[in-house]
Amino acid sequence: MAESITPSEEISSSNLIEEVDSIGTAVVRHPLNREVLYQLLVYCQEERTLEEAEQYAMTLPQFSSATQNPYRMLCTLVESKGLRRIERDHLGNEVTADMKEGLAEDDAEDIVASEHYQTTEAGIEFIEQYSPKSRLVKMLSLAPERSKDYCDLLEFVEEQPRTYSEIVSLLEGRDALQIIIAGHRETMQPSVFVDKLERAGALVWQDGWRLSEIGAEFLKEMKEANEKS
Amino acid sequence: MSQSKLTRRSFVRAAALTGAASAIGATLTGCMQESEPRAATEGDQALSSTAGLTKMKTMCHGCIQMCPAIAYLKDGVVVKLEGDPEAPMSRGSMCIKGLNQLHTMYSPRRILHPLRRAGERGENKWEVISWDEAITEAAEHIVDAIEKYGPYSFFASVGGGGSYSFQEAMTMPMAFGSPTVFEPGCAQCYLPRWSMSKLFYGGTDQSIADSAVREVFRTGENNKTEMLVLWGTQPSVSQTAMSGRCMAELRAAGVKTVVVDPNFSPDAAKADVWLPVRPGTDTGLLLSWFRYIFENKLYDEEFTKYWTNLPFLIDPDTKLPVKAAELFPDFQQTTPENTPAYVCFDLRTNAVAPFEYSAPADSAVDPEIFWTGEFNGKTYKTAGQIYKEEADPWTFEHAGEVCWCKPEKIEEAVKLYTEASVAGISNGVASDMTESASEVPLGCMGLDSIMGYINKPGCTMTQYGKGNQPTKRPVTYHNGPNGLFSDMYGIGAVVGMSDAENEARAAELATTTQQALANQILKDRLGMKDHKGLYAWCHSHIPTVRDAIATGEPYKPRVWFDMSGNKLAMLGNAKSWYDVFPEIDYIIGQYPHLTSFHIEACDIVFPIREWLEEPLAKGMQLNTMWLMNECTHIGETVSHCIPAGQVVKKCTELMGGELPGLKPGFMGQSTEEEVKEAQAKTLGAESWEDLQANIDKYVPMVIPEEEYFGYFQHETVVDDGLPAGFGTESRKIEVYCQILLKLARTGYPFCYPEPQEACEDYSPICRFIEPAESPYEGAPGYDAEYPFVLTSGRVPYFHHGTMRHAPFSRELFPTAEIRINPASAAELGIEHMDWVKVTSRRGEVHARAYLTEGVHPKTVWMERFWNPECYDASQANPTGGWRECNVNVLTKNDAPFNEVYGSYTNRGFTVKIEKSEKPQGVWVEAEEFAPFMPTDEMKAEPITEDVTF
Repeated sequence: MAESITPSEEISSSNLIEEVDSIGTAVVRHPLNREVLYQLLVYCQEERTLEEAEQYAMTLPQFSSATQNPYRMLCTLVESKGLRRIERDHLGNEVTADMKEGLAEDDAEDIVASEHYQTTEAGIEFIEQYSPKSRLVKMLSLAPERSKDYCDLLEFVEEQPRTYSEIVSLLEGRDALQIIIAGHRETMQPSVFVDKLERAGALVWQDGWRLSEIGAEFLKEMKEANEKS
Repeated sequence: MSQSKLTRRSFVRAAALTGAASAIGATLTGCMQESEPRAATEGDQALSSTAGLTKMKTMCHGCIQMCPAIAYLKDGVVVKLEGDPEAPMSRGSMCIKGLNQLHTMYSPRRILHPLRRAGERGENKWEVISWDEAITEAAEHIVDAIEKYGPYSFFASVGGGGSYSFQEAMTMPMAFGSPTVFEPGCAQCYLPRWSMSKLFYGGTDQSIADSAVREVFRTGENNKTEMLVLWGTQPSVSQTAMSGRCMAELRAAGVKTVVVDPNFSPDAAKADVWLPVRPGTDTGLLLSWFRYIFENKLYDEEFTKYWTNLPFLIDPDTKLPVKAAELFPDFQQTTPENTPAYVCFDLRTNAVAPFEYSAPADSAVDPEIFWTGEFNGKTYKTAGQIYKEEADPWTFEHAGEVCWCKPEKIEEAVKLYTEASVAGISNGVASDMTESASEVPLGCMGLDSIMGYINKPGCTMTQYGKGNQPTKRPVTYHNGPNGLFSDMYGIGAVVGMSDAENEARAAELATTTQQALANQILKDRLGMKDHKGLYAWCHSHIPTVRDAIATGEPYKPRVWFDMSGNKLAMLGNAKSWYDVFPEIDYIIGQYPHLTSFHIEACDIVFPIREWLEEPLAKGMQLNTMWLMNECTHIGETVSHCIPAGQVVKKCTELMGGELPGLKPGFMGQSTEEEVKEAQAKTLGAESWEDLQANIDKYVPMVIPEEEYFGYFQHETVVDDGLPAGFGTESRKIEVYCQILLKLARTGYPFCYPEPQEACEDYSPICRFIEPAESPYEGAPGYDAEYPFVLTSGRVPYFHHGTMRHAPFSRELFPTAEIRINPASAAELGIEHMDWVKVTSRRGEVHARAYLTEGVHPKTVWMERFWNPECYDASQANPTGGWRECNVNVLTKNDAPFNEVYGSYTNRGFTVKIEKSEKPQGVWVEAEEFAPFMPTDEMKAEPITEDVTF
C-alpha cells in the first residue's frame, strides 16, 4: 500500500490537513510518476518558471518511465494544491484574476508573459512528511531484522551501478528472504528489497541500480550506527 | 436503428418474448416443437426484411454458448441478426445478448484506435496514438520492469465476458518467466467443477452452461433424458437461446426437473420440485440425498461396487485407500502396474481380501460397500462407510432446518431423481462462488456415480469425441487444458500411469524441456501452497495476488496486461482492488469499449474487434464446429490475441531476441493473417480465402456421429485385456476422491516432479461447511447487524460485465435490483421499487427493491455483476457507477476460502437492508440511455482493412 500521510501535530488548520492529504493522494496515485512529482514539489520551493520546472523534471532519472509529461504533472500538483500557479506580466508583476476580469480571452492571455510555480504551505508540509529520510525510517521500523541486508545492498550498489541479476546473486539464499505469509514459509524475491529501497528514495534506476544522494547519506548513517552498536 | 427497422419498442417486445418463451416453456410448446419449414409463397420476398441485404454466416459471442447466427448487411453495415436454424443446439434461436451486438458494434462508446491516458487515472481523458506507439510503449514498460525487478514483476489477467483470450493470458506470463495470471472467473466460475471432474473420474463435468453436458441437447429419438436436476444453475436466464430453449423443450417432452436455487428462476417456476436452498449450504442438502439413497438402498449396487472406489478400505492413518500389497505381502497382482489392486471386505468369504481391478463379472470378490472392522489389529472403514457416516446426521428434517427447504419437498425431489431409469445433475456456477466450491461438485458427481448415471444416454456425465472408443487404459493429463503444458514443459504427472512410468517420463522430459524453470514457476505461483487446485488452469490465487501487490511480498506484480472485461465489476470486493491500483506501475487494457476499470486504472487501451468483426472457429454444437466470421470491420481494431502477440514480439526485440521465460511460452497469433489462417486450418480449408469462398462446404465442420457420441466407454475391453475403466489412479470413479489428499500433500499430479509444500488435507468427500458469515446466532461469523443472506445470479439481459452500454437492454433492466421477500420488506417499511441501501461488512451499494415471494424471507438476491457503466460526457458521476450499484463492492474476498481452489465468497454472505434515496448520477429512465444509442457517425465509419504491423 502507499505510505499513509500522517498529519503532523504542527498543523493546526484542518484545511491544511486536507490539502496535505490531497497532495499525498495525487503524488502516490501513480507509482511511475511518484518520485518526479515529489521532486517537483521540492524544486519549486523556490519559485520556478514553467520552462525551468519542465526542464528539471526531464533531468530526473525517474522521468524516463513516467506516464505523463512535465506540464501535466505540474497541473496535477496545482489541482491538488501542492503548487501554486503564478502568472506574471512582462515586468514580473503577478497577474491576478481581478486584472483579467472583463477582458476578452485573447486580451487576458496577452497580459501574461510567463507562467511560474511555487510550492504551497501544504506542499512544504507534505515534502517534510514524505521525505526520503522519513520513508526510510518507516521502512526500517517495519522490518528491523532486514537492516543489515538493506545496508549490504546499498553498499553493493554504492560500489558501482548494478543489474538486477547482480542483486539477485548478492541476496540469494539469505535468511532475510524467508518470510511467513498466511502460515507458510515463503521465499521472497530479491526485488522486494530493491522495491522498498527505491520507493523510500534510496535507490534509483539509471542504466542499473544506483544510490541516490539520500541513499548515500542513509548508508553512511546506518554504517555509523552499526559501528556504534 | 432505422436501417434495421428495429425500433426500441419492437426490440423490447422481441426480447421480452425470448425470456418469456424460456420461462413458460410448456405454454409455448407448440412454438418449440420441430415443424416442417413453411413453403415460400409469392409476396414473401416483398415482405421480407432481408431482401436486398448481404447474408453472412457467423456465430454469436454474447455469452459462452456461442449460438450460430446470420448477419445481414447493407453497404457493409450490419443491420439485422438472427439465429441460424441449421445449428443443432441453438436451432435458430438468438437471445437479447446476441441481438444487442447491433448496439455494441456501433456504440458511440466503442474505441476504434489505441488510446493513451491523457489525464490522471480516474479521469476519462485519452489521446489517440498509433499502433506502433502503443505496442512500443507497452513493451518498453514490461521490459523496463523485468530489467529492474525481474520476471515476476509482470502479470496478466482475463475474464469478465466477451473474452476469448484465456490461452493468451495464461501463456504470456510464461513467456516472460512469470507465474502470475488470474481471471475473476476461474476459481469462482467453472474451474472447480471442470477440474474436479478430471480428478474424480477423468471425464467431463456437469455444466450445461459451459457446454460440457450435451445429452440434453440431442434431438428427437436420440434424446434419452428422463429427469434432470438443475443444481445452482438457471439455463433459461444464463443462456436463453440455447440452454433455455432446450429446457423448455425437455419440459414439453415430459422430462421431470428439480431445481435447487435460492431464487425462483424461470426454470424453478416450471420445475416439478423447487428447493430454495439457503445460499452456501448446498452440501447439507446433498448429504441428505446421500443419506436417503444409502438408507433405502436406492443406489446402483453393482455399479457402486465395481466402478467406484467406495468399497475400498481406507487406512485411518493415511486416509488413503489401502493397496493389496500393504495388507497381503504375498499378494501377486495380475493386473498391470498402472492398475493397482486395493482391499475390500469380501461378502463371499466374509473376510478382508485383495480387490483386483476387473470387469464386474470377472471379479474374484463381492465387495461390501459399507463396512467397519479390524484387520491385523487396526480398524478400517470402507470409503462408502466414511461417506455414510458423514451423511448420517442429514435427515430431511435436519437438512430442511439448516438449508431452509421443506423436508417433504426434499424427499419428493430425491424420489424423482432415484426413480428415473436415467437421470443426471447439472451443477451450475453457484457453488463455485462459495467456500464449498470443491465439495458441491464432489457431492453432485458422487450422487450420479452411485446411481450409475454415468456414460449412459440421457445422463449428464457422458463423454464425447476423442476417447470414445478406448483402446488403452485411460489416463488423464493435467496442467493446462488437456494437459497442454505437461508434455510441453515436462511438468505434471499423468494420472493412470504407474509411479515408475511417471518417473521415467519426467526424467526423459527433463532432458528435452525447461522442466526445472517450469516447476519453479509452479512452486512460486501466489497462493499455491494452500490452493493447489488452481494449477489446473495455471492460475494464481486472486486475493493472494492482491495482497502481494499491496505489501510487495513475497514479490510485487507491478506491470499488468489485462485482456478483457471490467475488473471492477468482476473482482470480489472491488474496492479492495481499487485501493491497490496506486501500487501498480503500468496497466495495459484491451476491450472493444471503455469500462470503469479502463477509466479508473488503465494507462493504455488497445481497441479490439467486436464479434461481428472477429474470425474465430471455436463454437461446438454437438458434433459440429462453427465459425465466428469477419462480417465487417471498422476502425483500427484487431483480433483479441494480437495486442499480446505484438507486445511479446516487441519485447523479444527489445530484449535482444530472447525472452527470459518458457519456450514456446506465448501461444497466440500476432497478425490478422495468422489468425485467419489458423481458423481456416481448424475448419479444414486451405486458406482464409478458400474458407470464405466455400463457406457452406467448410461450416459447419461435422464430426461423424459415430466418432463423436459414445456410451459405456468404461466397459470397452482394451489392449491389456481389461475393461477400459476411467482415467484415475484406481481406474474407477473415485467418489472418495483420493487424489485430493495427494494434491494437498505434494501438489500431485500438477506440481511434479518437484513437489509443492504441504497444506492441510483436502476433504475427499462432500462435507457440510456453514458459511463464514452465518445468519445463525451463536455460529461463528454471526453478526446481528447483518440479518440477510445475499446471493446473486444472472439476468437474461447481460453476460458477466458485458452489454451494460446496450441501451435497449438497459431500458429493460436499467439499474441494480435486489429481490426481497414482501414480508421482510414490510418489516423494513420498503415497498416495491423503493431504493434501498445494501450494506455488507465491506461496503455499501444501492439498488431498487423488487418484492417477490420467490426468495426466502431471510435471503436477498442481486444480479451478479451489476455495474451501471454510465460514462458519458453528460454524466456527472465520475465513477461510472461501480461504487454506487456494484454488487462486488459487497462481496467477500478474504478467508476462509475453498480449500482446493481458493474460491472466495461471492454468494452467501450477510448484509443489512435499509430504505434509502436514489444515488446521484445513476441512470434509470429510458431516455437517459440515449447517449448509448448507435450513432450515424459510427455506422458511417469506413470498412477498414486489417491492421498490419
